[in-house]
Amino acid sequence: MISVKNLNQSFGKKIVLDDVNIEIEPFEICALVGRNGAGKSTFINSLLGLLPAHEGTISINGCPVNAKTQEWKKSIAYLPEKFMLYPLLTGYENMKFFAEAIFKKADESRIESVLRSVRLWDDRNEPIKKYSKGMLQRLGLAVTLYQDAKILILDEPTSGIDPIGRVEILEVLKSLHDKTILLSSHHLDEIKQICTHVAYLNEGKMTKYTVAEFLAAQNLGGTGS
Amino acid sequence: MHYIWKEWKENLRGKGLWLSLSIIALISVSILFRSTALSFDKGFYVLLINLFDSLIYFIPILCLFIGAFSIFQEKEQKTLIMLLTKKDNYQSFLWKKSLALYTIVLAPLLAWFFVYLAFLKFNFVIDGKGYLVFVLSIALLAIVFLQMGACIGSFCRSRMQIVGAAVFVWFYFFFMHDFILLSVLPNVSADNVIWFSLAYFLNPLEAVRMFLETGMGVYSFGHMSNLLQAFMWTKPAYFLIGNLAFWLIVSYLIAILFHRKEGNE
Amino acid sequence: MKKVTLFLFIFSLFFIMKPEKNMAAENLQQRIDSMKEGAVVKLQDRTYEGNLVIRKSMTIIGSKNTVIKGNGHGNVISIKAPHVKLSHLTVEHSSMSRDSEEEYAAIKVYTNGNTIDHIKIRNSFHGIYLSQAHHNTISDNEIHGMGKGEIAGQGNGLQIYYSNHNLLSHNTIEGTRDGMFFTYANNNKIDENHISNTRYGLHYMYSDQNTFKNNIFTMNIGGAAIMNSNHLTLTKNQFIFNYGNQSFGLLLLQANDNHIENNIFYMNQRGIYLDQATRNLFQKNKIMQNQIGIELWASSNQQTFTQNQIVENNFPAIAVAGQGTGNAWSKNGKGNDWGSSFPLTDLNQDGIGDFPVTYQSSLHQLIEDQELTSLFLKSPAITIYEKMNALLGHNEKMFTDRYPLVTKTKSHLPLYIVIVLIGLALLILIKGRHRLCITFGRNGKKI
Repeated sequence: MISVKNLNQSFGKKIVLDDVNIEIEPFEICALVGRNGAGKSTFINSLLGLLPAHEGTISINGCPVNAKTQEWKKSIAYLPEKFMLYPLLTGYENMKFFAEAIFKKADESRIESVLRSVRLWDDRNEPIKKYSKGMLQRLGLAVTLYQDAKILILDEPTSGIDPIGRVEILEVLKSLHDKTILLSSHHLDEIKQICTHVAYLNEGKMTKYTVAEFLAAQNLGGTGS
Repeated sequence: MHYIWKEWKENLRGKGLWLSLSIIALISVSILFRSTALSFDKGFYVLLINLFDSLIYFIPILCLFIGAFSIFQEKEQKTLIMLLTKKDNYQSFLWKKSLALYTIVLAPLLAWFFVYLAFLKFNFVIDGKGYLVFVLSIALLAIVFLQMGACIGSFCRSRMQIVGAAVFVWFYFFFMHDFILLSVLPNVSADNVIWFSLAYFLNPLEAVRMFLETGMGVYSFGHMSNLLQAFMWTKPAYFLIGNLAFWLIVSYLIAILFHRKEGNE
Repeated sequence: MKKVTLFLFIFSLFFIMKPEKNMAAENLQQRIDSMKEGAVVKLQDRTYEGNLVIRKSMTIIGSKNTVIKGNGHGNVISIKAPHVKLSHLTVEHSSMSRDSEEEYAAIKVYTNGNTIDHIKIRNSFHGIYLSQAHHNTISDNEIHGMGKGEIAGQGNGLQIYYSNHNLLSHNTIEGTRDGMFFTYANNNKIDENHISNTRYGLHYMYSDQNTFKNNIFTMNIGGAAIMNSNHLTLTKNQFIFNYGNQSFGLLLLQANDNHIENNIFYMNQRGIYLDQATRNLFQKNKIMQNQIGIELWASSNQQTFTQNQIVENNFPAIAVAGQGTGNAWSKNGKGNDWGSSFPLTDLNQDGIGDFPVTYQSSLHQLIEDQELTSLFLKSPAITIYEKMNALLGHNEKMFTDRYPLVTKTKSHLPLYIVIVLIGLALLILIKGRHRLCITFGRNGKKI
């Protein structure tokens, strides 16, 4: 569970997050939606502990997110937007590196299992600079899935992907029944397909809806995509 | 270890390291040609001094760029942020990355100089200790500037900033630092020579050169005047160790304090 | 029983007292003393205890491992008769005392016409000392000092004191205080010696009309320091890598009318250093890759530099504390080759540049005022310093060579061949990288 209370973030005089309160329950798939520059990245960086909270508290599975303890990191796995991983390494080598970096030792059977789940096992020996965008995105997902974290935070996981590739990624996400997922997205069809809730960020304020409520509000022209 | 393994794989398959090594090899071979043309005694030392004087133009800037772009790429590729959100904090990431950089730059460099020694054996009488001092000097020079490069890569937000910062650092140590000291040189006396000495040996290029030339036995401080004795208040090796410690720590701390996690293009 | 015990006790004393050594020492000195004039003594492969005094003309030849070891007091071997020949010995362990009236040596020669060759000397104050000894030949000897820059605690390799017409050739001297020290020694020939790791390779005072040819002075604090001495000839010597702070290849101090020709001054702090020296001729020397090629103090006048190759020095020539009078940078219409630092045209192809070469610098002031300047001579910042001072008009003329020689270019063909080969290797490396990666790297897990 992700719990955010009275979160305020600002850069200079500009208030980016204004008294944000939200709770994302276990096993929810929550879309983070907002215009460009609304503060989505700031919100995600705050959740990840990369940006200290100006005011307010954040806790992940009951562990506070702050510099003193690192317990919350065990519960989350993050996939940034526009990542490239290590282009000169193969898919397998990328997986192995992250496995060793995070867990000190790589579990080869687990790597195989994860790569098969994202349908990259046959391409594992290719340098990833030869991967398509969709393949790269799936590899990124594989890296996050390997970590076996309860909470996944995905920053625009289908950005720049062709429709078929998007379908493949969404299928992988749909199969993750035991995870809590927060994903930022600009695509309403994605939200409709896989999300259970929507966190809408507008002018520093965040409101949580169910998907149906959000779509209804959107149809009234209030939010638009 | 996995950082070293990963860096090694990347650089093996990339062009940068090979290109740099080939330039070093080219410089080494051309210096060897020049030195064999002169049938002097002590030709071995002549060659090493000339080689060092040539490499000193190239190795610092090369290492600055390697260190800086290596860190910057981690930001650009978003792998840094993926690592920071899990186990590592920036300090431990930088520490492991720095060790990996040292390894992947020094390993082929040392291997080349091992091969080079075989070429030298055909032409000169080898002084093992002198050659070791030479190789150590090159290695320490590389380490200092790799760390400075890592620092630059940590706080820069774009490639252009990196290029500018690296060139500035190189220019500073190559020209400006000594130029400033030359300007104050007429005012140096027995009262303030220790400060001057500290400032002089703050330049890694001078500290390494002094260590190399005294370590090989080609530069002697026999018959020192009082002023010179006060200037050389400790051994060149200790000056070098102090310089190394200073710049490694300062670079590391600046990188941690001022690092930026995202690279913007 | 008592008699047996007493006999055994007396017998065992022989083992403690080591009578064989004393007997050997007494034996060699006695043996020498018992020889007739002109005798030849062949020594065995063992250590003989010194000290020895030779009072008759004779020849003493050792074997590969013959050692004459002094007792630490006085000279190991003193030659007090003429026409003595010593050969193929190792001589060691003279007195190292600095308090005694006399300065001791491994071999001290007081007479004339002696030959000392193929001797190895170590652990002695001076190596070979010629004291008012003339017409001697000192050749092919190896003299090792303490090294490590020890100055006070040891003497010189060859000490030549009031000794004339000697030949010193093919000796190797390293690690002594000075390599060779000449005082009031004239008309000697010093050829093909190799001196390294000393204070001054040659320390020369009040000695005239000696010739130095084909000697090598390397890694000394000063290659050759010639003071208060005139009419010397130095030809085909090499002054290399005399590189320390305040070091020089050749120093002429109050030395006049000397002829320095066809020598090589290479990678010294200062190639040639002139102070209070007059009317010296420098001809056809190579002065290369020194930090300062020629340092000329104002007290030095009427030097002549002609047909020298003065190239690739950080500073070709610096005139300190003023210009000095009458210094000529050419003779009979022939100046010096200044290398690519001073590009020249030679339209009439006579080997002489079409215009004079003038060098200006501001460094002389720093050198005069501050000895620490030498620490910066290799720094690239010096170039900026010079350029700044040139802009500000602080430069002064160091020299003008009216007839500069045009540089002859060498072929760089072998270097080009190597460059092409390396380029080809690179091409193969880049194109064949995939194969290399398969060989050296592991592309994922093996099935």
